[in-house]
Order: sequence, then structure tokens, then C-alpha cells
Amino acid sequence: MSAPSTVRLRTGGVLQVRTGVLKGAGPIGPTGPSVTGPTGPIGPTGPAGSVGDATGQALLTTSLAITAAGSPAVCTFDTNVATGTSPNPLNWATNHFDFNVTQTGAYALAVQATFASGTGATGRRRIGLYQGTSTTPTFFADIPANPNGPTVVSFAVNTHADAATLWRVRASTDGSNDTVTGVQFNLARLGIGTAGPTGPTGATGGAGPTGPTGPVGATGSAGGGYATYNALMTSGTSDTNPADGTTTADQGAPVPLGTGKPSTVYWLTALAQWVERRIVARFTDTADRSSKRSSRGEGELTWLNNTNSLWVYDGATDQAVAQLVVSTATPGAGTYPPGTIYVQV
Amino acid sequence: MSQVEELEIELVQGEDFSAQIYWTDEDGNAMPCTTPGRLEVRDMYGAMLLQFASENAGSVATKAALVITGSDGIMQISAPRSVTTPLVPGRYLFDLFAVANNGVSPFTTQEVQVCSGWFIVSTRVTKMEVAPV
Repeated sequence: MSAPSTVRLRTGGVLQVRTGVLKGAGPIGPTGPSVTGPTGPIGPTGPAGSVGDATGQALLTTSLAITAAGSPAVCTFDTNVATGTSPNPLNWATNHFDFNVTQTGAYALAVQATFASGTGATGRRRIGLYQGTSTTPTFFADIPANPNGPTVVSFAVNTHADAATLWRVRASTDGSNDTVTGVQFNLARLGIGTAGPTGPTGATGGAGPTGPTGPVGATGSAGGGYATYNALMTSGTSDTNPADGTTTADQGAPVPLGTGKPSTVYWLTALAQWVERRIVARFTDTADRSSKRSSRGEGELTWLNNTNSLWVYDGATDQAVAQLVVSTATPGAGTYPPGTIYVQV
Repeated sequence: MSQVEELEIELVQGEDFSAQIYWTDEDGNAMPCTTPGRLEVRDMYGAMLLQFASENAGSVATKAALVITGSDGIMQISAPRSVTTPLVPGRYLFDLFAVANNGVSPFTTQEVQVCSGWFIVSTRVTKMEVAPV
């Protein structure tokens, strides 16, 4: 037998169904394996970060006299600072000796000072980096003076610099007079540029197949039943729903319908109340009768115990039902109930 | 031996879906039909996914509907994208029941299964927002 061919109907399509030709679907196949779709590919690498700042360079070209007395001399630099093509990492104050870095970060700093020194030079020569007006160096280098020529003092340091901190370069000796003939000061920002943006997220893998239906839950606990008949006498059981019951064709006794709710208690009560009106009801006296049955239907019979009399309601008043007494004795006055017919024989 | 054919209806998530089913007898003559008609889509456990009902014929812009053109045997099923967007992609079962006016004796009108098969809800790839119709 040839394999079934598939006719697919998509939106906008029209399909002709000829009775007896197009068949239904075959039986449901087994559930496929629970396989989650593969993870999507990693997004492409983001673009390269921006190029770090170029080296800033400052030169001291005017001689700076160092005398034995006083604080370390402050080096005043040229305003001509090489910046290259990128922003200069230095901010120079107009006094040309206070500076700060443009952005807080890591920097490589190199300072080199040349002292004239030469014949007869003694003591040590120092170049250092100082914070603000402080005369105590944060970074410095000093070496013995060179009696045979210029003394070159230099140091290099990698440090984290805060943009809010002002710095100065100072030169000094240990008490000797000398002249600083030149200072070269280089600063370069360290580290890579800012990271590029994150690449786009790869495509999400396809959803796995629906899992099998879970097991049937445990059987619930049995109910506790009703504690009293009142629980079965709810308002919705019968009398507010006439479809639950009917009346007999003969005397109109209330009876339940086979299609009604199974409210047996209600129908027992309803039938008892109906029967009460159709038997000879017994009362102590007329007051008791009026209290218990304020309204009566035509034809209702009642018995009053105080007068031993039988009464029938004619729709307006109670009429005494005649009682026949046959006796050989003479009737006594006031002995017999209303409606008594006394026959002496 | 006759060729057995299976019917698949494919719907793509988020599309405004509309297709026609042309019902004929074995001779190719249009089968007169009338409402009610209904095409229900359920999963293999019987849970309903979608219902194209002739009662919704007057609300095709907002509900999945089955519009029956009685004399021509044409039944158009449609669902707006507001209905197809939340559907879970997968493979479901469907069948289409309608009432044939020329029922086979002893019936004058006969409720019959017109066709049945697979109902495929495909995943949507393209994301596009279009103002509601």
C-alpha cells in the first residue's frame, strides 16, 4: 500500500473536500524524545574600545636656581605640552606648575631632572612629585651630586591618580647650591579604552516537545456526611424550585418529582404539614386553636377539649358539628357540648 | 488502489489566518450545507486550543470564525492575529463538523464530519508590529 500523501492548507488557500476521498488523520504517534533545542550561537564580538590617551609631556627649559635654604623649588613648565591626536591627560593651571589628570585612573609617570653640578659639587640632588603645596614628596628620587658633570636624577612610577588632586614637580638639594638646567616630565594613561557594546544575543533554540501527562492524583478523603436534617433543608432544595416537586391530582398533596433533587427530609416535612390540615386537629380551647392555626381553610375539622365539641370551618366561621346522644335518662342542663342533639327514649 | 490523503492545516503564530474549505460530494457537486458548523483544534490529551465556530461569523475581526455559504458548500475559517498570536506552536488534531441540507434518509438535515486531520501551529520568526485592523 502506498504511503499517504499530505495535503496542507495554509492561510489564503482553498481546499476541496470530496466526500469519501479525503481521509482523516491517522492514529496519534508516540511522544517524541524530550530534547531541548540547541543553544543559539554566541553573538559577534563588540567593536574595539576607544584608543587610550596619548602621553602628555611637559618640559622645563628655563634654569631653576636651587639654594641651600628654603623649601624644594617648584618647577614651572612650558605651556607647550605635546598632546598628539588624543586628549592630553594633563590639566595645567595657569601658573604652569599646578596640574592634575583629566580623568581619575591609572597613569605611568616619568620625571627626569638635570642639575648643573660639576666640579666641587657635593651632597645629593632630588626630584620629586608633591601633592599641592606639600613640601613632603609623594614620589621622589635622589642621587649623589656628580662632581664631573651634570647630575641627572630620574624616577618613574605607575600610580592611580585622582582627577581632583593637584600635583607639583619640585627639585631640591640637601643643602648645596645648584641649578636645574632642565626637567622633562611625561605622563601617559594606562589601560585599555572603554569596552565596546555587548554583541547581540544568539538565536534561542527551538522549544522541546510537550512532556507526558502527569499521573492521576490521589483519591480525596470521604466527606463527613450531614450532622443534622437542617443541613438538608436548604433554601434551594425544593420549595424555591418548583421543578423539584408537584401535587397529587386527587387532594393536592405535595410530592416530589422523579427529576427533582433528592431532598427527602423536605418532602416528609411538607407532607406532614399538609396532612395536619386534613385530619381532626385537637386543641385545648378556642384560644389554643387561634394561636396555633390563625387561618383555616374551608372544611377544616377541629376538636376542642374543654367542651368536647367538634367544629367545622365553613370559610367564615366555625360551625359546631352535631352530636347525637341517645339515653333513657333525663338530660342535665349544661352537661353537653354545643350542637348536641339529645334523644330520651 | 486509491491514494489515501491526510489533511494538514497550517497556521503561523501571529498571522491573520483565513482559508476556505469547499465541500462537494463524490461527483464534485457542491454539498448544500447550513449552520451550525464548528472546527475544533485539540491536543492529544483533548485540551482545546482553538475553536472556529459559525456562531462567531459576525465577529471575524476579533474571534476565530467559521463562515458557511450554504448553497455553495463553501466554509471559510479565519482567525485574527489577536487570536493566533498566543497559540503555542505544535502539532494538534482537528475535525470539522457541519450540517448537510440534503441529508441521507432518514435524515433531512444531517450533522456529519466533513474532514479531519492535523492542525499545525508554526513558530513565527519575523517580529513585526502592525496596527490592529
